[in-house]
Amino acid sequence: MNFAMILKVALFAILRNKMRSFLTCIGIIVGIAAVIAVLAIGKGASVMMVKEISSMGDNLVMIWPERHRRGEVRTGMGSGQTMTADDAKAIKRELSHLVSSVSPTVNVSCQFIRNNRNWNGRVSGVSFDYPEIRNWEVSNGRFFEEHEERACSRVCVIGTTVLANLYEDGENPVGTILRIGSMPFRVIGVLSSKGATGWGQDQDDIVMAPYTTTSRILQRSKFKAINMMNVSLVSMDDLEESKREITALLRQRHQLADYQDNDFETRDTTEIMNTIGSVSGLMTVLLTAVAAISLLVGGIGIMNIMLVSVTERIKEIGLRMAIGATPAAILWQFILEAVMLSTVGGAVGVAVGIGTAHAIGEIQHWPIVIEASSAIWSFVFSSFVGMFFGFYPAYRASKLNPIDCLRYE
Amino acid sequence: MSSLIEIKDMYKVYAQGDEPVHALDGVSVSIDYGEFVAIMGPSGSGKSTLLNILGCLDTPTSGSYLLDGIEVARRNRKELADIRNQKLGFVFQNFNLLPRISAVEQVELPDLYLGRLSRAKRRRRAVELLRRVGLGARGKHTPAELSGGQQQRVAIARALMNEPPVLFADEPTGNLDTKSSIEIMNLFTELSNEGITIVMVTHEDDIAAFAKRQLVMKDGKLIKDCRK
Repeated sequence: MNFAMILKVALFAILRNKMRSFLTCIGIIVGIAAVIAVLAIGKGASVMMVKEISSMGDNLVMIWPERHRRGEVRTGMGSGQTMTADDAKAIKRELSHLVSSVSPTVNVSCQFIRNNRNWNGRVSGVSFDYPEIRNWEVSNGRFFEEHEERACSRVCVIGTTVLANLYEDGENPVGTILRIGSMPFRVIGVLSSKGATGWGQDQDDIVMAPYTTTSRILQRSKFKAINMMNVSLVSMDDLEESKREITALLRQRHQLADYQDNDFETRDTTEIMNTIGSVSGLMTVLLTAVAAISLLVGGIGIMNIMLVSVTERIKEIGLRMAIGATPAAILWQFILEAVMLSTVGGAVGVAVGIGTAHAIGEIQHWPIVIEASSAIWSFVFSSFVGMFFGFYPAYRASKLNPIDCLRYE
Repeated sequence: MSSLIEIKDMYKVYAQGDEPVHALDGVSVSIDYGEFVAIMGPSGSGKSTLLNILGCLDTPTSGSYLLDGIEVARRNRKELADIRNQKLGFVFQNFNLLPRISAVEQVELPDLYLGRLSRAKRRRRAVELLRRVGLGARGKHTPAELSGGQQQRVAIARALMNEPPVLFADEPTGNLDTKSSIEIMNLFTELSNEGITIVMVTHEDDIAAFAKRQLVMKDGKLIKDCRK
């Protein structure tokens, strides 16, 4: 018996009971659609996060001093006092073949006052080349320059959130005086808006000043301790070597003996990317489990309806056997019917899933990324489900005795 | 030349409750090529069991069965299916047409399992067979659109599709009125005259009278064998 013929017979059987076939497919449709939709949303989110991280700056290695400890109590990242601006200068000076620029960062939380308005926020003391390292542009005015950094000038650049809270609409802040804590600073520029990070922190709620000024005038610190530094590498290809060299240099400068641990931590964007990768990997595993369960339920639905179908068409089976259908032909006829049901269910599920993902993306303004591979795999897998769960009913049909079938009432 | 059908000492025993039931109790008979045989007897006499075994739909408990020179009593299901497909044609009391497919497609079915003919040749042969049984104009009709007599003609055309040497009919006129019954029997007579062997089960004497040989069964035994 040829394949096209069996296919036609199976299609006929499915179309004969349209409502029943549809209800049977629903389990598969819902399962596949859910997987496709969630995968599309998840992939969209991870693509967005990757984009955001690369917007932090290319070739970036971040270094924090070790967390400060009091007894066994550890405080926040960057709270240690072990790293200084001199470390940053040394890295730039001695590893110039690997490092293009280094920006120390000193963070202070301050009250900003402008006329009768005030705002509490963070001052980031950075170096003049920070905008370059972080791919962050000044939209209005300018960033401070090297001589201002060296001279501890009281100049600052403000983020758009700070601008919105301290200035009138349309007011040009460049050239105005802003009081930070008790010190007057001249505003020389406005940073372009960067929006929130993937984890919800408003990056525009910031004021930037030279780290020298921040350390000496705002922190009133005699030491040159910094909270972190951003090291920009010449090339990402040298990442491992660069991290090794930086670590060696810092250990030497901090006079650490071999048995002592590093008193600083390094992190780079690839590590963060890897973390995101492992999170989305975990999500894929969970989704696969959900998909497997829903397809199991859908498959049992198909098996159930196929058993009914075999009983219902027992006379047809008898007749086909009487005129020469081999057990294998009967087996294939019913397996193909089940496969067709589940494959159609899978195809509809893929379509519904893509539609749902786009609808949710539209409503929630989430990015949606639909991968062809996930659609194809769902589709292929659903036909396997049909094959697997269709086998038992089909096997039972093929084992029937022709004479019992013909006599069945 | 040996017979088309040759059975020897055939037994069929059903284990029903405590008492085994002997549906066939040592039947031996041979049927030659081209014969038109009617198997008669009261219900429960074993005539349908005999026909089912002859038609390879059922297997005997013991005994030998030579069909067209081959032993078929101990064959597996696949081989029996192939024998039914190529050597036998069936006509049933209740026609056993598939619902919803056209007469031509019904007739084509046996060759779909055999795959001997091309698509076009198969269709041509099916149309030809329908004309042969007097249904030339009704090829596109489904069973629901045909009368009982017409449905039985479709079933006969289907039975002839793979050119089997023998046709088995189980009460072929049981569901038909007298006029249709006589038409079907006339068709059988014509087929018989063309050389096709026909073995038919019936309990009606006037239907059996169309056959050239009558076998009468009772309690699983053959009690009478007479030729016209």
